[in-house]
Amino acid sequence: MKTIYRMKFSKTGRAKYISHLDLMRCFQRCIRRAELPIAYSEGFHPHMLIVFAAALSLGFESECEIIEIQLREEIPFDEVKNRMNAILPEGIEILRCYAPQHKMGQMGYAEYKVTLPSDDSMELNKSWKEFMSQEKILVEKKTKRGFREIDLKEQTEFLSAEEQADGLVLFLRLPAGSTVNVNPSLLIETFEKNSAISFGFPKYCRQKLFSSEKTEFF
Amino acid sequence: MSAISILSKIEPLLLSVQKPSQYIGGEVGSIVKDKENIDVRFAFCFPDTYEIGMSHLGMKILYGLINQRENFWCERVFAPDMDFEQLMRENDIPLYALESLEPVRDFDMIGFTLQYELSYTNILNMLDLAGIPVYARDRGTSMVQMVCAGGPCVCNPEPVADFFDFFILGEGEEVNLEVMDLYADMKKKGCTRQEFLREAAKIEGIYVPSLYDISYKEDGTIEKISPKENAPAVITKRIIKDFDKVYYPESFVVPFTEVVHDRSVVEVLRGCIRGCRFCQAGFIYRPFREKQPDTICKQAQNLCKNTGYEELSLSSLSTSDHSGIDEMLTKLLDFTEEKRIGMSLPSLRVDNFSDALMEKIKRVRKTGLTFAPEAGTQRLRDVINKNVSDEEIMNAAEIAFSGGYFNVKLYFMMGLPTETDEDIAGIAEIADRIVDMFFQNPDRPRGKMVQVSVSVATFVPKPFTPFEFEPQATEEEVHHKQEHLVNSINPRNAKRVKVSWHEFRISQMEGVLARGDRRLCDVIYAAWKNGSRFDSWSDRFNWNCWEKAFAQCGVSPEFYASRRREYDEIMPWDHLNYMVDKSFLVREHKKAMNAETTPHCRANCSGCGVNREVGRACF
Repeated sequence: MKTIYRMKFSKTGRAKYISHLDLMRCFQRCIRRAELPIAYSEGFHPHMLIVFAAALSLGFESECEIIEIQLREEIPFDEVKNRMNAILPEGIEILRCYAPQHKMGQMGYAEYKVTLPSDDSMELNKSWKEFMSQEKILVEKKTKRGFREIDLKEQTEFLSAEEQADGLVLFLRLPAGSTVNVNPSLLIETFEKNSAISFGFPKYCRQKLFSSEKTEFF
Repeated sequence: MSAISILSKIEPLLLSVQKPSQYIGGEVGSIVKDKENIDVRFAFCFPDTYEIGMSHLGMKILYGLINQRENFWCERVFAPDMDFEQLMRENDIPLYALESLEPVRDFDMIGFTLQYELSYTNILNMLDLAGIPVYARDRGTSMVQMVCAGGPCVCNPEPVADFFDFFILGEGEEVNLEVMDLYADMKKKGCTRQEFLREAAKIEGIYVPSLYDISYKEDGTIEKISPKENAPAVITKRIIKDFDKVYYPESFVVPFTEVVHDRSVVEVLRGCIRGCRFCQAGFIYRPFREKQPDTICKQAQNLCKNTGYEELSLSSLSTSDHSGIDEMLTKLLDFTEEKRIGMSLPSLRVDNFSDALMEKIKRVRKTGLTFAPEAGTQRLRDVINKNVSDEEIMNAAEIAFSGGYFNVKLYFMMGLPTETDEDIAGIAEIADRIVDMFFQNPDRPRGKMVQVSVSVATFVPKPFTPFEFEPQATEEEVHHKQEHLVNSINPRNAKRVKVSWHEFRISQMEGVLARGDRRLCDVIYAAWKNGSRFDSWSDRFNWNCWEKAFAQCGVSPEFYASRRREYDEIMPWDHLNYMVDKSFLVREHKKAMNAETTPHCRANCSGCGVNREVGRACF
């Protein structure tokens, strides 16, 4: 009898420099350290039954990463969370542990907070609004089979902007599913090339995941 | 510069360098303390990149040891790779430590480990990046930035003597804490740097190079090594008497990014009983001491539990020489199988490579096997005292093939003392015979092609070995030998035998630095100024930087590399006592010239002198 545990975790601070591949290895080791009765696959080279949803770009922070593990024994959700949090490295924290409601494939969108450092966020915001008021924002996107042109305007749902003393904060919702996936850095880099106003090194934080029906992903 | 300002400076840069997680710290097992409660901050510097330094066991041991003490804080520092170094210099980011992200220049002690000679230019580069004066004489009179070093190359630290305040000879588990206690005490009293160094020199195993004057004869050899200010005439290395009880870390720092050796490691024994005459480790780590199988097993379990590593390896110079190897492996395999931990066993000798041992390894996994016959003929193996016969090599390969292996890696050296073309041809002969044997073996793995990789290193004579008197082979000699080896391999096996070797200039530089004296300090400095970095990496080594440096300093590399030393010559390291008598090295050298072997220490004590120093028989 295997039980599935889905965990939502944050990845902030120094931990944002852990690549996706390194993060998988880190979790495998942390599961061993937490001495959770993890289930293994059958076959000649058994591996831990762990699934990650939607890889996060290197350098992005997140408050909504998803990992799913299968255990050989039933353990209370809170105990799994606490045992993991006791040994996880700085910057990675399990926020919730629960039984999955959506299938992994039902994930459709992600909401991002993007901070563009600037002394004049009002001007920058003007420039941003101008940029977003274009009818189309066409860019070349690299795919497995070469380049494909996509319209970022059509893909981006611009939620709001906050003009702060040290920069402009944007809230965006973008496709993050298995078929369509748009990285916010693509949009911001395109903006940077088009904007007359320059800004500092952008900071990204993934804040919420949504299903393809745009309900919160659980 | 504070941690926050370093962090804000490196953040915009990290995404444009390779493997950024190596520059940010925060790994599982890393130790962060409140600096307000700390008496001595120690920066443990590994003069190579993170992925190499994080594989080094000595650092893990000393990191844990120092951090056990509440009033000490040991942090890790590695050489930034070239891409990040450039960005650090462009953006005025000083070398910082990974735990606090604070500049190394603010530390009390800056300790380097000297693992290989070709890392020396990286040390200078790291000091410079830290903003610390490269030459020790320029560091003023206050008790800050005390730059020290330990590790195997400290057995002849003279080529880097001008860059260090002091050296730590031998094993560090006791003496490191002693010298840090002294530092804490004298710093509180407001002593000067020079007062501290004079006191430190009284601790056994501490060598303060500025307290010794070296004079030279007209022929360039050393005339006299003169201690000053009551410094001891001879400095003796430190050893741990009870190796079974010595501190061993219960956890390691577990890197995020992949490093060369990324696993739990238990050190099972120290020293080596074999006495191979080319091998420096076999002499400088004496005496031979083992941990009890139960201790090893307990330490392995602790480490695997606390790190979460899925792989365990045993570390030593020759693991199969452990007197309790069977008990140890049985116990370890029971626990590793239950916990799904893979086990790897390096350093096995061909002469006791048995079916039973093979079975134990096979329970783990099936990859390649590596043997080190070191020389191509029995005569030359007798000269170097590698007591392995042709039959034992063949026997080991036979067992390996029957066990399903089809990749065999063979390590040899060329340029050994007394070596002839016949000895070189012998290397090819062994490889050819192994290929033939594969096809004659009825139990060989089917559908697989045998692959014999022959890796040939250029022999580098090292201090504290019987070959310390020997000249290193010259470029012409080495090129001739390489050609002769390739021509000696049966053309029929051309595809099955793969030969590789090291670049000559790299081995020559290693040879120069290994047996060099203080006149090389300026050469190393000049080579670093000329752009030398990461000299041990064949793709980064640049002979031009060194060639120019020798010319600038008027020093000849051949004087150090290719000159025969007389038995009575004063060696640059003669004031350092590694517990092995020079008269023993001379005896062994004479035996080598007659191709006479010396039995291993367990079979018969050959009187190297270490038991007199330790005050007991080794066995």
